[in-house]
Amino acid sequence: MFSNSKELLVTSLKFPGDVIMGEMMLSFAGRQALLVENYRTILLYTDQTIRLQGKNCRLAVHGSRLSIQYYTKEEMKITGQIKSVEFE
Amino acid sequence: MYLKIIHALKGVVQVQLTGFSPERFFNLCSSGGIEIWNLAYKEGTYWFCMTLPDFFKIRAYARKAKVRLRVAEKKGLPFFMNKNRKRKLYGAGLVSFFVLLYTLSLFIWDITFLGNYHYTDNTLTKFLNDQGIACGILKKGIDCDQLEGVIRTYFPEITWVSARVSGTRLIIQVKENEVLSSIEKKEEVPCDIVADSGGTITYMIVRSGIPMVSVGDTVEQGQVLISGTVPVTNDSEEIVGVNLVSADGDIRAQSVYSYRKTFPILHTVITDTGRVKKGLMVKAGNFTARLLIPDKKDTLWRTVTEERQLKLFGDFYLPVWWGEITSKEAVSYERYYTREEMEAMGNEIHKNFLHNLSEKGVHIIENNVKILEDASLCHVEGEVIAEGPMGRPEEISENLAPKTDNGPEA
Repeated sequence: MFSNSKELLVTSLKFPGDVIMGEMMLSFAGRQALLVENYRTILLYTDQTIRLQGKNCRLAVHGSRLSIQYYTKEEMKITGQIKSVEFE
Repeated sequence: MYLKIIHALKGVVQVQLTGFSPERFFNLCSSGGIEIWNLAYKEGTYWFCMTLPDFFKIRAYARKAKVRLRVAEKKGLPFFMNKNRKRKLYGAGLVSFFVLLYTLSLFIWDITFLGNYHYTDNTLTKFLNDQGIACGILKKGIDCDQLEGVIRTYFPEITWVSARVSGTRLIIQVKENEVLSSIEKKEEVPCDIVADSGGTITYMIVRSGIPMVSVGDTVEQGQVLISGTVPVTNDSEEIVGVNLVSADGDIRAQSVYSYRKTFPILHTVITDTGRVKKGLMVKAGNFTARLLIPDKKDTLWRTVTEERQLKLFGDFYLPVWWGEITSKEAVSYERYYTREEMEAMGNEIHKNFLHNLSEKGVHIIENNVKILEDASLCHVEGEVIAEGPMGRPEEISENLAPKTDNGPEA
């Protein structure tokens, strides 16, 4: 209930969702690179799957030759051959 | 780029990671502010890069996550320094290089002038040398404000000066006055205007003095055209004295200008044989080194050297000049001018003569040129009928001035 009202407030006041709700922001550069912002922790990293924990959900990136170009507390840049992205 | 330099200065290690919970290790690192990049997974092991100071901080994280770390590669300044710690001369050379570079940067090695047309670079350089400013002086020793003032004072035609030191260059930018700062005053000495050559007067206006000839008169060289001796008469029109004035006026006359020039028909010609040698030169201070293959044969070589000053970047000039030497072999021999060449040269001489006359404001009415040759010389004889300004001032000596004169009235 509270979550819904917060969502309603963000939508009606046109606040950025990633700031208020802490949602993950994904920016793709084709299928070669993906920039993930607002993630919490790394759950799993192999060259075929990267699973990240967000505030509200989990993100799984599937592909091949996946590598992390860099990562900080806030953001992570994934490169490689990305096949799919899944929210869990 | 900036980040790469920082990493190189700090030192970078590539680490191989194996063990129980690598993800936990990575999360601990990110929460601890440890910078990790180029993280890759290959055949059950993880590879990543980090800076050397960060590597010393992660021991606790590795223990918590139960992972093993192995340094696979080391790069950067700390490792380079450690590797070369025994090469003292190498280090000394490197340090000396920077010290020398710094020392050279304390001096002026090039002086550039911009915007000067009336005053040549040589004039300004000589003036600066007199002021104690030359290539090789300390930059500290230059007071740009004072220098600007001195230049403005010494060269009145320079209306604006900007002196600035940029790198190892002293750049002096000037603006010159495009109009004359002072009008030349005519000397008010008593003088006549006399004919500087013979001719027929075609136009005459007298501003001061007594005209002695009129339009249409034929005059000879040295004849007085306007007299500066003005008689003073009383009421009975008797001459009681004379006033000496500076005669002035505009006179134009039709005159015949002639000239005669000769040049030898036999002359020396120097031509290139086609053989070219290239070399290099380096000059540092008074020392000059030239790299040019010497020639065994005693032949004539014409050499051109293009000299350039060495600069590291931008305005950082160094006291080293280098250049390319181009030497061309030449042979000299004597030969006679052909008739066509002589005519071409004669016409060229005549053309120059006409050009010089035109520059004096002379209007050419008729011109003739004869090109004659004898055994060894070629004669060019030219005759030009032209209308132009006539008359030159000739000072009247006090002793020669008549006490009384029966000349025409003023």
